[in-house]
Amino acid sequence: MQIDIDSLETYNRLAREGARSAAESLSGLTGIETRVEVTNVSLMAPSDLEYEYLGGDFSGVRIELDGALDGETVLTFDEAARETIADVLAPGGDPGMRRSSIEEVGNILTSGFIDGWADHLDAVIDISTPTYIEGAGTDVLPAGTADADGQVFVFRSRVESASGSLDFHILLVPERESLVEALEPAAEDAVPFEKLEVFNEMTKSGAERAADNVTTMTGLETDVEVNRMRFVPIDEVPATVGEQRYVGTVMEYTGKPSGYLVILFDRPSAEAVVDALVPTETDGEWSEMEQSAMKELGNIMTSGFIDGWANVLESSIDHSPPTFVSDMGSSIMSPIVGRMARTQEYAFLLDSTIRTDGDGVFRCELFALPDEAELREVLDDLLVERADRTHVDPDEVF
Amino acid sequence: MGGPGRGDGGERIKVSIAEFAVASAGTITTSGLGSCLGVAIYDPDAGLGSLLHPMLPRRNGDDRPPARFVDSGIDSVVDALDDAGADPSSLRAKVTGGAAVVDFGTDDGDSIGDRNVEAAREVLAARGIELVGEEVGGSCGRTMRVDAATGAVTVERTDGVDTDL
Repeated sequence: MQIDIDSLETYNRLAREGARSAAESLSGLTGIETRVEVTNVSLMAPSDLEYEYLGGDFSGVRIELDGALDGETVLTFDEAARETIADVLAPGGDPGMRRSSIEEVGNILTSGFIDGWADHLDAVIDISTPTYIEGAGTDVLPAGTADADGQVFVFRSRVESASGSLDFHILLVPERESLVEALEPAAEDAVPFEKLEVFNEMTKSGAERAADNVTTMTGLETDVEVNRMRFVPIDEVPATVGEQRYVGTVMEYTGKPSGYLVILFDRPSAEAVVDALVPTETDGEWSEMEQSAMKELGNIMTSGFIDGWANVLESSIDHSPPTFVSDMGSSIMSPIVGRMARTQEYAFLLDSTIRTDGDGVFRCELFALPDEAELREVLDDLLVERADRTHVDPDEVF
Repeated sequence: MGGPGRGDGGERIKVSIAEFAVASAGTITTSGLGSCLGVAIYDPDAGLGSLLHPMLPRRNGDDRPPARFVDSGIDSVVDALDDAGADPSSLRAKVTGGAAVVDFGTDDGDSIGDRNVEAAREVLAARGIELVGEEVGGSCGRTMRVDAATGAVTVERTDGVDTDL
């Protein structure tokens, strides 16, 4: 099965337009302005999907798609949005009426979302009766995907209102074969789906080695919890990383492919790892010694990560000394994206989350941004010259 | 991306990278300004304000989103202000951002942030728009808030320093 990377741009645009249409419907119903914050296509293991829905209580609708596109769409409102919608559409209503208002709005929004796809495909997509969903994590997940074999494409849009009172997520998880069949025939330079899958698994192995190195250096138990390859419009990379404050390192790597690796700890985690390395009293500022400890950790993590790629790709990838960063995630990403935007309109954002096994006190995000054209070349070389390795279990390679 | 945001209801309007918004009331905000710029262009007499969040200095070509670049972005904003009824000769500007949040040792010459600031000064001067306030450079991320009707600007830096422009 071949995936034409250029057509990923088309899919992404369809998802964005669908989400915009849903956002407009919602604004029309409630009178509150909403906007599509980010839209991207992820390739991920179905089991990682549930992390999209951790740490909150969501409600919404799930619909099944059949016809030109098979799969599922899930639309979820967070708690504040649920209150807003119910207050507007069912003021003073009992819980049953409030729930109906969510179902009704979810129904209208998902239809609008799917219409764009049907128009583009010039075909009929049948929509099942919406199922009301409520909860967190796997409770709101597309039912058919949790047990899917292999990795799945997930189209995800985040829609937000300025006041934060009307935010929702819309996910489309098409069945893999259906998606490929639905879209235009793959171009000659299409990449086999399995190649993207293997590259994603390689990245996960790299993140696992990076996590092991953190454990070795700091004694903190860690685990790679989420790993995904996202295909994102270049302008949206900073918003995808978000506005929360992070501390970490940025490295530039050169070779095939070249690009950037950004390792970001949330502040309590950064303090925990640095304290494990140089146990000193901190006064909120990052001393030279603490910055250099963070850079050393970045160095070790990067080596673990990049070596994994270089081994499989049989290429030599060097990386620059790490630069210490402490700022908003989006501010950290902006100069990196500025550099990349000179030559590319979309980015492959490889994102791994490292956490502690237990209560999630420790959290670190690894973002790898390879040069898009070089990544295509690398994938192509892997296909042509080392096709045998594409079927190698990454665990055996590392 | 890149289209003008709307706002006339006194609400808060959020602008992302490579976008701008024009409004006559409410607050226009943008966050996560690193090397990017936040450019506020306003006509206090007409009570119209705007906020542009460009990422790179110059467009050099015409097939890319205008609001991604300082030069073409300012052109788009001025056109939109004009359409909304602003007087081109009354326009004033305030600029923030252009930081070097990540210190790229390999940068030859100025950082992207420096070049963005330089481009904004040049393009505004060439258009005869007076630059009445600046809080630029350094190494910290910023959040910018523009009061659309008056052009009053607040800049919040991640090191805790707030500035009114």
